[in-house]
Amino acid sequence: MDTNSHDRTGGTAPPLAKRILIADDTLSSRDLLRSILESSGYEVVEAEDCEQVIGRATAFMPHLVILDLQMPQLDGCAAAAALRKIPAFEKTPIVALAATSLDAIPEQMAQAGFTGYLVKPIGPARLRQCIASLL
Amino acid sequence: MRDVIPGSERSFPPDSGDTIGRLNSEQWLAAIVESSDDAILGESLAGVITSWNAAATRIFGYEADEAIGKPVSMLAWPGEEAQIEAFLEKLRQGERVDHFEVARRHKSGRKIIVSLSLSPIVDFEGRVIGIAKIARDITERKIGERRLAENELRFITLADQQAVDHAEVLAERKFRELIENAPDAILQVDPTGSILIANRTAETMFRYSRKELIGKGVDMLVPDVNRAGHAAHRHAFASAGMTRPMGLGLDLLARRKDGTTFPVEISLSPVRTEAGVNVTAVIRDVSERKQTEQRVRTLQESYMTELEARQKEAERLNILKSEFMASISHELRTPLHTIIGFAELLEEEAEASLNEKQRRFLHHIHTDSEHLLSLINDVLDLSRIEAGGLHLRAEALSLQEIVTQSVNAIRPYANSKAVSVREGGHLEVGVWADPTRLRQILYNLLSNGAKFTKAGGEVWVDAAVEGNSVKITVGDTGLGIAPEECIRIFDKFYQVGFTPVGVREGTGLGLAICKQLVEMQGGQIWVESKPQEGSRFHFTLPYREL
Repeated sequence: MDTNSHDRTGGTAPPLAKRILIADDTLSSRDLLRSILESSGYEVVEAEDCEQVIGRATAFMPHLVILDLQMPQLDGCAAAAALRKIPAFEKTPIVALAATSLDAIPEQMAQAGFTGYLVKPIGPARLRQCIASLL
Repeated sequence: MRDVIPGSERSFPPDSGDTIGRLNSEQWLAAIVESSDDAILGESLAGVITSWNAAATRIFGYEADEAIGKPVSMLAWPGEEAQIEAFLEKLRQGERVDHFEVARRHKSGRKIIVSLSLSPIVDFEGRVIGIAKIARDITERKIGERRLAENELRFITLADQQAVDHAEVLAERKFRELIENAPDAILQVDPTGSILIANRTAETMFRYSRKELIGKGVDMLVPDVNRAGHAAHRHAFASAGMTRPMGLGLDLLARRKDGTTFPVEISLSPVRTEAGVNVTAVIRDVSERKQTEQRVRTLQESYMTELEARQKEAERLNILKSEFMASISHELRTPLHTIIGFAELLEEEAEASLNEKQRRFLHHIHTDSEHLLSLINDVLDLSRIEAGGLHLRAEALSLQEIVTQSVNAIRPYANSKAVSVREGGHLEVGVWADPTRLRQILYNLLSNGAKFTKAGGEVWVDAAVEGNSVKITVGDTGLGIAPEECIRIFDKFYQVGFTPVGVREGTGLGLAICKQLVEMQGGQIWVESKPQEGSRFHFTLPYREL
């Protein structure tokens, strides 16, 4: 509920920092991602469900989007597909977060428009490495 | 017979002198002899006829002058002369022969039967000097007797015949009874379909009287719907003419007088007659059996329905269980993910901001969280496999590549235990497998090996192509497994009895998951092991050329 308090759009990050949208329904998970990403100098915006993803994305225009595959209402795949339909996000890297390797079905994710995926748990090293390779 | 007759022809012993009428006793005697109905002969001891009365002439056909002085053997029935000699001998000894029935030859050659009485004639001094023979013609009597015997025989035969007839009647009656009381209706039908014979059971079964059946068309016993085709069936049977059940495999119905029908079994057999082929039909009312069968079927169906329902319920519960497990695992994992993530993030920053003790605690939080996560992952995996929710994506893979990835993944853990990890030989082959699952299998086996191997030991992977398969072996120099555990080790939740100090308990699901994953990919998994000598886990996967 306190998503907006963490929404640091136009916040402390330098103006030229790359913007990343993270969508995850779990507060602690969002905080972890934000903490790692901000410590690496990225500007982060959060969405806590799929509905928020499109609105935040169009308002924030992120350079990269991280979507949890399992979220209420719509799953991550649907959200990714919806984003891909917006011309502005046609080429934006979208990374999936899978709870297990079983949830990460490459064909499905590719079809939904994901650029790549990470299997939880996500530690700082792996996340930074992944993001760096895409931006 | 001490009354003596003197030995000369027609001579009689001197009488006491009495006379009867004007005849003296000698004349009387001669007259008696002459008037006798029996032949009275005198014979010498040599068998020569010495006297011959009128009856002898009548019986034997010879006149006195033809007979007297001739041997008595001339009267013998050809071939029986010896018997006369035997008699003579007896008489010479002073014996008698009484009423001996014997065949003799008439002068004409015909056979006559006589009853002989022979007595020796003795002189005053008791010497046998001749033979007196009385022969009675009993030919007629014999014939009569024979006729009588024949008649008797004929009578007996007749009686026998009657007895036989009686037996036949009885047998026929029994046979009729048998047919009448047969549990099946029995009908015989002529070539036109007209009923010739109907037993009692047919009456009760079809509820027609016999009068109403005999001479009527058998088609009236066929249900209305089948009647049209029945004549054709009858003709077909008559021309094929083999005993067989009717309508084999069909549910046949028969029709009662009141129009109701009932299930029957009918056996047909041909009876060939001059008029054509009659057909005997044995008809069994199978209503009761059909009802029983129906009851059995209904019961069976209800059991099957119940069984299916239970099976479905069991399946549903199993799926629910698996879904629940998957869901709970997911729910358990989500917080763990962040715990682990934060632990890692904190450890990153720990060098600067945390003291030694805090860093140690943080490390425990991190490693225990990782362990908990691996347990949860195992449970989730097996649940998915059992719920049929695990879909493999097999492809041609380089075994070498996957082995290297797996070995690298286990190395930190192995190193922490001072166990070395080695990639063995013959890994440069292609296999047909799901890469994620193959990594999972290898990782599981390697971590298992490392877990039960002491510091300084070794775990390794090697492979060999065997026919269409690649046999992959994960070996260790660890504790080994007792033979009786080698099979059960792949059971769910099975853990070897002894876990050494310092070895963290797993879920007992790792090998069960490996087994499932290997089998899902068309392979087999087994273990060779000796306690204290280490273990070799082998599994096979389809070989694919790269």
